[in-house]
Amino acid sequence: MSLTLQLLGIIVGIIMIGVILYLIRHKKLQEEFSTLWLMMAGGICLFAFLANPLYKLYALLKGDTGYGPGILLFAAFVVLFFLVLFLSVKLSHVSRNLVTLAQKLGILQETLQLHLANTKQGKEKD
Amino acid sequence: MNDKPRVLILIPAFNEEAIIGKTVTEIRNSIAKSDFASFDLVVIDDASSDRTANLAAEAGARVVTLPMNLGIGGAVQAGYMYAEKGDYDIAVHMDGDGQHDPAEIKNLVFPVLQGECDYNIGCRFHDTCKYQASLFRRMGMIFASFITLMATGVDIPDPTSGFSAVNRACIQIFCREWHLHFAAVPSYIEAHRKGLKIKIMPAHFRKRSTGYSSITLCEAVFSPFRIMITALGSVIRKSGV
Repeated sequence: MSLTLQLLGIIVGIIMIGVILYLIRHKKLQEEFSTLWLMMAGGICLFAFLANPLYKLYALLKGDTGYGPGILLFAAFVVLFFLVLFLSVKLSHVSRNLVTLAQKLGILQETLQLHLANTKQGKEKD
Repeated sequence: MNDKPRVLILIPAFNEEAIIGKTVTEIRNSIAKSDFASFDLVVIDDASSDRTANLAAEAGARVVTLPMNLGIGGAVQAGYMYAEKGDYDIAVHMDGDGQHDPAEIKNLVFPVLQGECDYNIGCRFHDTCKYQASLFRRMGMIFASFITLMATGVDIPDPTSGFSAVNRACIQIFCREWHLHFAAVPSYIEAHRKGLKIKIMPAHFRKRSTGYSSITLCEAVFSPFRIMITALGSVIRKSGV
């Protein structure tokens, strides 16, 4: 890996960490998710900084005739797959909770209106 | 002290201002003649943008207005939650478009009250009812029926009828285990899994006089896959009740 590419990787990683910290500070990203993104950004920095282990991994995956970049891209795809899956699970959970909340709110509003109407009727009778 | 069983009729409605008032009035007139149970009627307004909620209330129904559109599945489940909260013995699910004949409520409720079944489904496909569904809809029904048969061993020829009566056991289950899309098939699977008895009853359906079906063409095309995935999810899902 060239020095320029290493520097670019480190800069991109640092910018990512900065953006994530900014989002945490402004309460736009919860800690639960920020850990994951910080790990991703940290990983980019680490791989850019320690290029040699990455080369060794590349050589190991490549073997004699294999195509190393393709294997690395596949690894990146797997990581992204699990990341998106994780977010989909969270989204499903939030979505279901939102539905339950809307249902309960609707029922509570109706109960309250009924209660108020009954109270009003009772007062009018008195 | 009223010892009559308490029945809640729940009607999910979304932008049904043209028919909801008439439907509610017709149901109220019909249940007024029944003395075997005490009836309440609730319309679950699924965040309609028209006057559905007002017209239903004016016609004498209780109205639960959802703060956002949840789709028919979410609205029906809200109805079951309302039934559980109100400690009703039986919940009857009817459509707000007037397709279901209120005169048949008694026939639907009675077997559940008698303990013949836990879940009674009104079916429109039988000798005395010549209901004609569109080709796409019919295909979807056949597929849903097949999936239900495979998963439960129960043949339900009209799985999307939307006209049913359930007892307390089902109400409790449906409050917790209910799919928001294509809810009918998973509900049969869930009821069957809990050992509850499902019964099919012939019912007369009328033509929808106004409004439009909640099933769009796009949904009809993709529905077989979604029904299959939903049913599979229901079969493999860990039970929460």
